[in-house]
Amino acid sequence: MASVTLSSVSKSFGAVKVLENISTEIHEGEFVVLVGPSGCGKSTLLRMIAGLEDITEGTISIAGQVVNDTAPKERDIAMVFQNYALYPHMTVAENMAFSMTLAGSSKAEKERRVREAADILGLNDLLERKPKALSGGQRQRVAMGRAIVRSPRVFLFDEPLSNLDAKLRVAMRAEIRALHQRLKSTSIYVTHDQVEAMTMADRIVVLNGGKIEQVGAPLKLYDDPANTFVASFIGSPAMNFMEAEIMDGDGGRSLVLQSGAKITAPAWCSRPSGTPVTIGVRPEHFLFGQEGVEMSVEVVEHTGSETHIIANHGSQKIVAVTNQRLDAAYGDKMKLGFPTGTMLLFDRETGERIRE
Amino acid sequence: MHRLYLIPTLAINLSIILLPAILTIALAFFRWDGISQPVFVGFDNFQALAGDRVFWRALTNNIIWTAIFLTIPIGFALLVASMLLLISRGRILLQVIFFLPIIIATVITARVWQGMIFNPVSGIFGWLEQFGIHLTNPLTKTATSLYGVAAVDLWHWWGFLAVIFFAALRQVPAEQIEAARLEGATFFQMLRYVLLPGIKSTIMLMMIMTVIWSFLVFDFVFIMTRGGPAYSSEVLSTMAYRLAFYDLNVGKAAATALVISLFGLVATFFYIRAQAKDGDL
Amino acid sequence: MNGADNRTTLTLTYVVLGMAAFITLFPIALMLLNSLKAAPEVIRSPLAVPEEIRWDNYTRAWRDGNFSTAFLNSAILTVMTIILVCGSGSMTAYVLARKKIKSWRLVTGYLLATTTAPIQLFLFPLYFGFARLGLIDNVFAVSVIYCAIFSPFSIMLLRTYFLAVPKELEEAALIDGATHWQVFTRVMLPIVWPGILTVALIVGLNTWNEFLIATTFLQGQGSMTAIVSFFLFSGQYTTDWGQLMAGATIVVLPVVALFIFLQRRFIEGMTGGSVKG
Repeated sequence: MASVTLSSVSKSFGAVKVLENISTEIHEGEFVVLVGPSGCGKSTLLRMIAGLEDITEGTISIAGQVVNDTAPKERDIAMVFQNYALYPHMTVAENMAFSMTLAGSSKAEKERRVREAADILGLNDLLERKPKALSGGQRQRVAMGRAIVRSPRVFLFDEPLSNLDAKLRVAMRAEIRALHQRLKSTSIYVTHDQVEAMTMADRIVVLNGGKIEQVGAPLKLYDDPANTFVASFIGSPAMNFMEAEIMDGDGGRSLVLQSGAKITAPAWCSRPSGTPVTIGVRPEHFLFGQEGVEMSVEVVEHTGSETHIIANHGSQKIVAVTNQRLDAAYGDKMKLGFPTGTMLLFDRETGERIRE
Repeated sequence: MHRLYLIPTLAINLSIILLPAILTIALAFFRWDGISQPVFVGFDNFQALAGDRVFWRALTNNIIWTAIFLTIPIGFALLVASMLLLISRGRILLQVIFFLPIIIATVITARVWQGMIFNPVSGIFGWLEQFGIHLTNPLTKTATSLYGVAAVDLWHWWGFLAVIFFAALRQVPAEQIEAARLEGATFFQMLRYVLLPGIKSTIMLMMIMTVIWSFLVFDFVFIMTRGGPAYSSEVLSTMAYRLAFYDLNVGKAAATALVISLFGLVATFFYIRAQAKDGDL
Repeated sequence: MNGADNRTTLTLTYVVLGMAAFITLFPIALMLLNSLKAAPEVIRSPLAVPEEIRWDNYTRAWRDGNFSTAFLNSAILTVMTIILVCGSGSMTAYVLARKKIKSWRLVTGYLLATTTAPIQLFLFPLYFGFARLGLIDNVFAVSVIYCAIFSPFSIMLLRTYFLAVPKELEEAALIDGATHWQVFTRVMLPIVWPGILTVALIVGLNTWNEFLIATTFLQGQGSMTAIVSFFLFSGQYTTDWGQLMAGATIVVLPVVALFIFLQRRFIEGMTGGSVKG
């Protein structure tokens, strides 16, 4: 077990900067997910922690020791790869024991550790098989078994579930999480899937364009995003954004949408009149009723537990979710109330949150 | 660290190929019998070649050889390969059969053809005499010796091409072929519009290789005719060999080798470019 | 495409393919058939079935061709060359496939160029150099020449096998604690083993069959290969074609047997470089 500290880490490939000034700390025993759209540099960052990529600037420390110039094998880490990277010419047991074979461990020791890991993952019946004879989920387990056998200081996961089908993905998600509860090992997990991030992480690091957008616990990011990027990236269906202007009038402050419709502004909003803002509303926060802004219904989707309504307000598309079973059809008019309490405001220019 | 991995390959390659190749270039400007001190003679060796009727004969033969091998085996191999695509039974067996000649040593092939086919006493040519069909051994006539040798090399070579083309044809997407069939293409239309364009890069590559190999051709000529009779089947590489090891005129042999390499070099340029285009470089 | 559209096309196809197969097999059949006949019978008709099967053609060919020594030489030469090419070639192919060095482009280009280099370009200085060093009639020295000649194409072929191995396997091994040499020997080599076998087969075939270098560098009675031995022996006994064909059969038999046994690997390996996916 160990903490991992990134301080002012940067990475360039030639003239292209892929990571800029990344600083954060992953605490001992924590499960941290690096999430972001493809090309945000999350995998590169993970590979730098593993020692597979050089660090252009800054330092990475494991358990307080700078490891910039330490070879991967001396970092005492284990990594689970996206395509599992199982050695095709070795059996499951040999795959799992390979690191110990290289380290010259005794046969009995290897057997004991492989057995232990296989017990945890339910791989006992597969130990003599070759990777070719395994299903995707089984390969995934072996890849994890290989990591567990080493009992490393840090576990690294590089999109380990993205090659599995949707159902298996959900199952493995829970399994990895359960494994972490059991082993309490420091884990860094890379994914582009925000649902994975939300469900698995103790804390999430949101990366975009080589920079950290926000770091925090899943629900903190959901409720209190720092900017429009995090707000839109976390949550599904995504947050609705509408452009508006603050306006002082007879009935107090209001927000005027581009269509001219007026919404009551939150009381804490202290920016001067005329400030352009972006309103952010989570789909489930809309109020269905008699009051609000008029929308024209486009599509209604029933998931069973919820109803998703996709509607237009002028050229603006809105997604609203309710757990009532609403009956509506294409073209129906409907009024949606904006929740003053949960509504978020962002600076239209910088995308940063406007706080109280 | 990884640089060390290259040492065996490069040490062997540089000492066996590059260094002697540089020496060959140098030797082309010297008179040398292989034993005594080489004497610098400038362009004398090249001048001697230019005035040597055998050299022009050999060069012409190489060009004829290239022309033959660029057309007959490639055409026949393409026909057979596309026909293999038509049938559903016996493909593997036929492939194995067509591939056989290329794995048989040139000496063996040459002797079998000399003794069992061309020979007027023991061969098929002699046997046909009984039926009044009179065929002379082509290897013994100046007018036909080159073609006699070429015939044997053709037998040795075409099947290999056919198997290569067949392998390439099998990679033409099945949907393209099916679409063409639905649109009513005949076999030759299919060949013309779908199959040949689909394996263009393979055909190009084999044509480049044919040019390179045609200027290197040695075994069959050396074994069956030694360039004779009266130099009628001489090619550049047998000429160079004769100059170096029989006439002990190593300088002139080196000059001939340079001429061979020059043709090879031009073709190699296209070869490397073709490989590079396919993303190998 | 499975099956032709109509019967006429199909029939015509089989006729042409059948003729092609006949042309290919005919000389080989003549060789086998006449290897069992006495010399006068061959002259009477090369096509007739032997009246009396003359196995002694083979024993005489074996003796006159000095094949006991020659086969041993060929075998040593072939094995040596295979070891040299596969050993040195796999290291180079790995480094080039993975672009482990900055100059990979230069080295690859150079090797591609030497793939097609004419033997005459380096033969003469090499011969006189070897003569001065006393390496003529030395089977081991000749295997080094073969290694130089066969390496470039072998490396290009092996390279494609290395390219097919996912990079993550190497990274996983590095994280598992392997040194670079261990990554190569314990992970990469076992995975590309089929490719190495293919290269070994082709290099073996080419070495066994090679004529120009063998006939130039190995002329001594004790050092010549089966091919050179047959070449000289067939020049001396040109009247007894039965015995000659028996000798020919002896030389090709191991090659053809191996080919038929492993034909898929042979064909894949020899055509592999020319067909682009």
